[in-house]
Amino acid sequence: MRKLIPIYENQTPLVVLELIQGHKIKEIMSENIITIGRDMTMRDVKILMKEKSISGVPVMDKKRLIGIISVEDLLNALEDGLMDDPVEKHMSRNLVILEEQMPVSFAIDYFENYSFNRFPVLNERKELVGIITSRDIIIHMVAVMNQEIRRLENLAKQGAHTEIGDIVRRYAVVQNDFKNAGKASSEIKTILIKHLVDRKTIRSIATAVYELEINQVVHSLGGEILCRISDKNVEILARDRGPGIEDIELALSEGYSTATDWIRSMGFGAGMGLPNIQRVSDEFHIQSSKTGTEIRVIINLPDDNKIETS
Amino acid sequence: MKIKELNEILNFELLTTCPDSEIVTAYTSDLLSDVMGNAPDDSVLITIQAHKNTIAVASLAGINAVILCNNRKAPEDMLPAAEKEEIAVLSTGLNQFDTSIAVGRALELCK
Amino acid sequence: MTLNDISAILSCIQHNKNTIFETEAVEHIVASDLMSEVLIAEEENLLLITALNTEQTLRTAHIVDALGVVLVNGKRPQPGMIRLAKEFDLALFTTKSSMFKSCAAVHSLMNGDAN
Repeated sequence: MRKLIPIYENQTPLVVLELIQGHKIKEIMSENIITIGRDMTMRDVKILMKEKSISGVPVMDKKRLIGIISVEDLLNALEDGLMDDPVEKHMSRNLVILEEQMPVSFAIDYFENYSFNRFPVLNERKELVGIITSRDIIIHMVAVMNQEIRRLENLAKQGAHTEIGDIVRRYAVVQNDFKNAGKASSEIKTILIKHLVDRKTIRSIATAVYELEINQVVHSLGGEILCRISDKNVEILARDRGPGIEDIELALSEGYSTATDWIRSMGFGAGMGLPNIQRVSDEFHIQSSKTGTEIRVIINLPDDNKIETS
Repeated sequence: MKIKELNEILNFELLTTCPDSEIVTAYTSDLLSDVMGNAPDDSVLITIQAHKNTIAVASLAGINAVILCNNRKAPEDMLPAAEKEEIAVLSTGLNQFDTSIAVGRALELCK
Repeated sequence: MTLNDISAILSCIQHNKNTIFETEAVEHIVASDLMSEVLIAEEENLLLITALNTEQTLRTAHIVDALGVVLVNGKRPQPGMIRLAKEFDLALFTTKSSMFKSCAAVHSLMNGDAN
């Protein structure tokens, strides 16, 4: 089925996917929320919405979100002459809710899949902390797109390699999902074999991708692996949503592991993951905080082994 | 064969004091649940699991010595635990396959 | 020493025979249950002997271009393993022997070849 919003896992440029997945709803939602109680009349809501020029208001029962009143609800009440009713009688109770830690891509999916014009946003304690409209997405995403495209233009000017013609792949990794770990490395290996890269280099690249996948399955709350295969090298970017590595230096030493017995019984957690990745990479960068770990690895292709990507 | 005699043949690095226990056979595994269930009595465990829990499992399974392969370092809390349980811990740069062969030969279990 | 020779000496159940199991010589053995340790191996034409019967065993074997996998202690392949073995063209066998005894037996066979 054709989507209204043209974002597709396999075809959308990586830069766009990175932007909508790399930013959280928390960053782009409106935090100045006007809320009303369940007893307010529709008439008073109409006055309030006109005054504040807003098109929807969350209805609260103390701290709990119980519904939303939209312009459509007002129009219906007006038509039926029910403006003195409490909002409780006319609000939409069928709430579709976003969470502040979700990536912006979730909000875009919601606007694709539901006809609502706004979604309430809750925090981890399920309290209402914001509201998001398509307007919020446009304002924020155009701003970050400007920034990112300017960065790419500058890169291109400097003669650094451009993304055009490169092969890019993105894989989502789910916490504790041992079943699917390894799919990214298998697919990357297949692509490299097709492009006649030598076996030794393929083995290095597949090892790095695989260990990065396993790392996210075992240690993170989930994340993604991005692979960019250019004519010179393969760049792998693995980033997750936390909880971060406490002591990076220790994590990089062979044999050190925070894995549990359960993970060891799955054949992992020998403390060789990161050292293995480092061993096969030409470039290895790692940064980590509580909100996530990002590892960037580059493995060069031998000179006589250039990939024709165009 | 006593652990001491065995290591005179193997010449691996002994990380603990050497208890006076017998070694009859060997068991190679990195899965502790597997060791727990299948390792024979009076055996030497060949593993890369350099971990305190390895000692706990070895003690339950009647293992008298543990050989750490691939130069895996024993963490700080592993060796005191081994001393307490009177389990010898040895270290070698050989991998599990080559260690198994060396031990198999020393115990005259293979050619 | 082919996969078929090894299968015979270990009295293996053959879950999947790959295209080269009677022709290609196994040159190196990796015996381990921890997959990151297997990934360190740099040799070619290797055989993985392990007690780990998960799909990750085959994915790891595939990455290091192994010729096949022998599961020890009579471990049955978990669902999905045989399908992956076929997809990656990897031999997949089970032996009742322990890893230690399998190593010893394969070594004797290797020695027999040399003599």
